Amino acid sequence: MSGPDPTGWRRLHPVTPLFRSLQLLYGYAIGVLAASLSVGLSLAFIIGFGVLIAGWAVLSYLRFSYRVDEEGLVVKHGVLMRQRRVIPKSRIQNVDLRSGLLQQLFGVATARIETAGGGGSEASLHVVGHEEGVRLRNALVGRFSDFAAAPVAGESEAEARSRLDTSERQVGLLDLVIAGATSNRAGVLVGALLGLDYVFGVVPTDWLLRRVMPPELLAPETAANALVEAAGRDLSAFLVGLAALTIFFGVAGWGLSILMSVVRYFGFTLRRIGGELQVSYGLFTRREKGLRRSRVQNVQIEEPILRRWLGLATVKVQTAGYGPELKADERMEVLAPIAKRREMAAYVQEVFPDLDPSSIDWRPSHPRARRRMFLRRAAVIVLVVAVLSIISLHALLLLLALAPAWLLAHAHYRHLGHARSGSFVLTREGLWTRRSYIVPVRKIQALHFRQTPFQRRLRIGTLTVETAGNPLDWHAPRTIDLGLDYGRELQAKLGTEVTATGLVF
Amino acid sequence: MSRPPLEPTADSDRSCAVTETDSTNALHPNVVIAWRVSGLLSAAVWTVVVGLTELFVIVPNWRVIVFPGAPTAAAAVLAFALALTWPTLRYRFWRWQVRTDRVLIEKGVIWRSRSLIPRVRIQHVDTRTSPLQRWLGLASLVIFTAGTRGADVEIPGLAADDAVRLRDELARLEEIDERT
Repeated sequence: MSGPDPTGWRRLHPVTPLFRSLQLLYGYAIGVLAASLSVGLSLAFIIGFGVLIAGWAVLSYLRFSYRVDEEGLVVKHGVLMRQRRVIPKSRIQNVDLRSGLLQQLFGVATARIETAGGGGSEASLHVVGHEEGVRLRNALVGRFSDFAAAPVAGESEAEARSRLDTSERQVGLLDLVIAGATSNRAGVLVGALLGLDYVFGVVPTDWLLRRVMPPELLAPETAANALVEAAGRDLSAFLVGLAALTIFFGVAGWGLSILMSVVRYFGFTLRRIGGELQVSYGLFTRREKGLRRSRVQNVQIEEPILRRWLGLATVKVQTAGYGPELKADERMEVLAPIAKRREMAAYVQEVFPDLDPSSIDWRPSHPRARRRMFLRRAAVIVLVVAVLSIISLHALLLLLALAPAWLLAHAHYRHLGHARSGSFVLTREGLWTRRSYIVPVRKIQALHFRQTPFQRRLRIGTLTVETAGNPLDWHAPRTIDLGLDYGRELQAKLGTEVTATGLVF
Repeated sequence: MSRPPLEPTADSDRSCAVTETDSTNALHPNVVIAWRVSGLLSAAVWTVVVGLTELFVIVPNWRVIVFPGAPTAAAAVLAFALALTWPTLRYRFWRWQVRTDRVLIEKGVIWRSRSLIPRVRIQHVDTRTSPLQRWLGLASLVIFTAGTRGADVEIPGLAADDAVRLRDELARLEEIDERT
């Protein structure tokens, strides 16, 4: 590494050209392959172009430098177009380090610096040494604004940091297995596996069916076809085959879901140093993220139905830094992939220390919401029955499904609600995956009270609490089906409270 | 304005040097013309699209149409009728109000919405005018907050000088708070 020169400018890690050219060569290799199939390229040309790419990587490495000063992060780069960008410390929302398998081997990471607004990352340092990444994170989101941690004369930065109150939580392997087993993702994976088998026949279902069904019943193609064939001829064989397949796909989907959860969140650690939150996890791709808790826009508690039954949940935080250009599962930061209900208060208080969980008093939505929840489901059932009864009047029996729909509507209603607690608003919704949001009033940007035509007839409406950072309207803090007058009053009251918090960012 | 005031509760006691418009406001009536003109343009495009689809896709492939030209005619009648009548409805349900501490916007014919933007959260305010709006003496006011869909808060058809006055007024609150 180029030693810290007196002006403070630093280069990226010396292996940067390697990673950069690998990145470029990957695209190049595909291009060459495609071209050589049609035209036939000379070896000299291929190598020559490869060298050119490597040269470009070295050149851009040499032109890239950055430094951290009182203002914040300054980045200079560009081979032909020279650019200089200053990112003020006070605007930085989070600093994320991310290292893939190869990067871990070299002990380097990609550092991404996010500010509010904008689609993607404000600056991406690809790649820096791991220690350098940690230094950057500490310098940009760590000590800043924690006056308690400002080093006094003769004290090193590390000593100053040690004075802050800290806490650490880890999630063990067993908990990650439980997390994978209880996410609703297993169902999606089962569907995906079935689809894959149907289209490509890649899943060894034929082998499985040959074990449990008489061979003369088996159709040569996919398992689904085999079963359909068998159903007409031998009912018991069909049932055995169906059971075998169900168990197989269930176990496979579940296993995959567990594997994904373990790989993604392996070695999950949440550390708080003063007002800074550090999260690190991942087996193949290691992620280490740092953010200030004062920058958290809202906290989301996610409870898929299985977790709810087991008293478990996922805790996530939303900052303004994650723009709409990021992948959906990267837009919120995970605070706990899985946590027990009694730990939940402790996790939330790491972010919002002034929230008193015991004072949260959930208020249900308007009772007429039940009617809407039922009508919504009933409309679908009646429509399907109407269409099917053109074919056969037996379809009218399906109207019996209205009874469970009514029960579901009631269950759904019980999960709707909102609460006030000190300077926080809480909202929740969702039957299969219940999402609860905790929003500090000072982070509210706007309040919208909306009514669909059905809601208007029932004189109810949905109050959306808009903060920075939530890109999707339906995965955002909102409280569904409040009574018309009550909802408008709540909107006006919250508006007044927001004004009282003054100009804050 | 025969409609009841937007706010059921009393206003906050926050005092502010900004002048207050306490009644709910409708948009400038000319906005109906602007909406109709753009609606008619869309209707024309829609008619051409349906016509071409009928001519080149449906007729040669299916030959199911009993009266040639009927689908296009129906689509055209519907589109032009909507373009002429919808703006009137939209205008009737549009209300805005600037208070000492908040901006309120009520709109929507079928999907109703009522947005409240606390003035302390306003980042900046733009006025925009298209050539058509300029010709009709109109301007749009766009209010930005740090929220994700902050730019959604737009008051479309204001008299041009009203828009400019409001823009300056909304910007002034920030200065007031900057001092305290």
